[in-house]
Amino acid sequence: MELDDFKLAWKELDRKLDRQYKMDLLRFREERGKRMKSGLLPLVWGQALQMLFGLVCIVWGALFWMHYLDRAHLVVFGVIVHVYGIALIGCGAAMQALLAKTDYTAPVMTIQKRLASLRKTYIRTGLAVGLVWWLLWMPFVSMLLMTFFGADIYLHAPSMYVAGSAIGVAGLLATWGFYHWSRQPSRPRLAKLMEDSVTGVSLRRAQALLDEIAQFERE
Amino acid sequence: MDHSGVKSRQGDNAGNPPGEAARQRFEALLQAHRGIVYKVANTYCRNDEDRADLAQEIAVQLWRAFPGFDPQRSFSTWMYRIALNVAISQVRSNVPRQQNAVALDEQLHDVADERAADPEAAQRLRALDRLIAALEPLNRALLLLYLEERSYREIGEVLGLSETNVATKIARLKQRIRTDLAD
Repeated sequence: MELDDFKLAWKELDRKLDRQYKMDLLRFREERGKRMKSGLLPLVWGQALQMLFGLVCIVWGALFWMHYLDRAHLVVFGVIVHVYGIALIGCGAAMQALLAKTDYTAPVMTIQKRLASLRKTYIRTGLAVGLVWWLLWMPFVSMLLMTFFGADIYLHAPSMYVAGSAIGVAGLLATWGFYHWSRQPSRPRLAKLMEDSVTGVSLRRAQALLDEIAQFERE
Repeated sequence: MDHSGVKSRQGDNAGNPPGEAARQRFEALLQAHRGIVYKVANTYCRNDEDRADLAQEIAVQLWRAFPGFDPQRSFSTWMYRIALNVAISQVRSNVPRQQNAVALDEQLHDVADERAADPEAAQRLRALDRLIAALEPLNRALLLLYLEERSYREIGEVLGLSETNVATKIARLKQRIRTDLAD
């Protein structure tokens, strides 16, 4: 069978589909808004949640540092959380803007490439936002204890911050180092395990999409 | 070019308001070109529920994009772009669900009786189904447009490729099918 032989089957399929599907495509008028099954929905919701959390960080961080202007270390903690909140909202808003600008009327290759890049950026941003918690937990815990119990642990246990910072930096470096070490060609199984568990299947899939598009262009 | 029924966005001769006129034009165009939606949904989804969802999602996106549609341009090209973009995006995020799906020809209930009468047609449909299932999403789009007998220029416009590139890809697709069927 040649490709052109499939044209006959395609015409048969066309006729049969038209007879079989009594689906009212205009039903969407009643249903639209109630559901959107786009593959981008998790991305939209993920960003929305991230932005909401960012807003909480901004409000909490700002109120905190403004309340403790007389204590430099508490101002620093508040500003860190404040800035983290701004970064979360900034990343989320930038991603939402890119998503909103997704124009399905553009050529397939253009849109698919943009969407795949967007997914990859989204996942990488998510990783960055998560990895900073190696250090961010310290101002967060300090602010929580200060806010709810009035306990300033920096005054009572400043060495905890030195140790915490050292562990955090070491943890970040170790994560980065282990990630690159595990991706050596000599350790394919470990590399796959790392991809799945640390960076997630999503990033691998996003990269696979970009590779597939690039291959389609090359062919 | 295919401008079937597209008029200006200023209302219609019956005196309907512009919004209502646009809606009626859109419905007429969607009805006239519904086959594109069905075929794209069938090409990218392997079970009835997914197909219906995808067809609805395509219709929603078409309606959202309709205000920006330029009546001077081909409606079918515009529709293929949206339908394929939505379908490819959706199929990418539904990989595990797709793997548990039922084959296309098994879903065509009314085909069953005809198969008995025309086993050759049934065999052709099965072969087509296997071919579609074996292709990656972008090659499926290429195949669909080729089987729809669209010109290389239009295929290029839909996919965002040059005519030469389309010709090369179709030649490779033909070769690949020959090789696969020979194995």
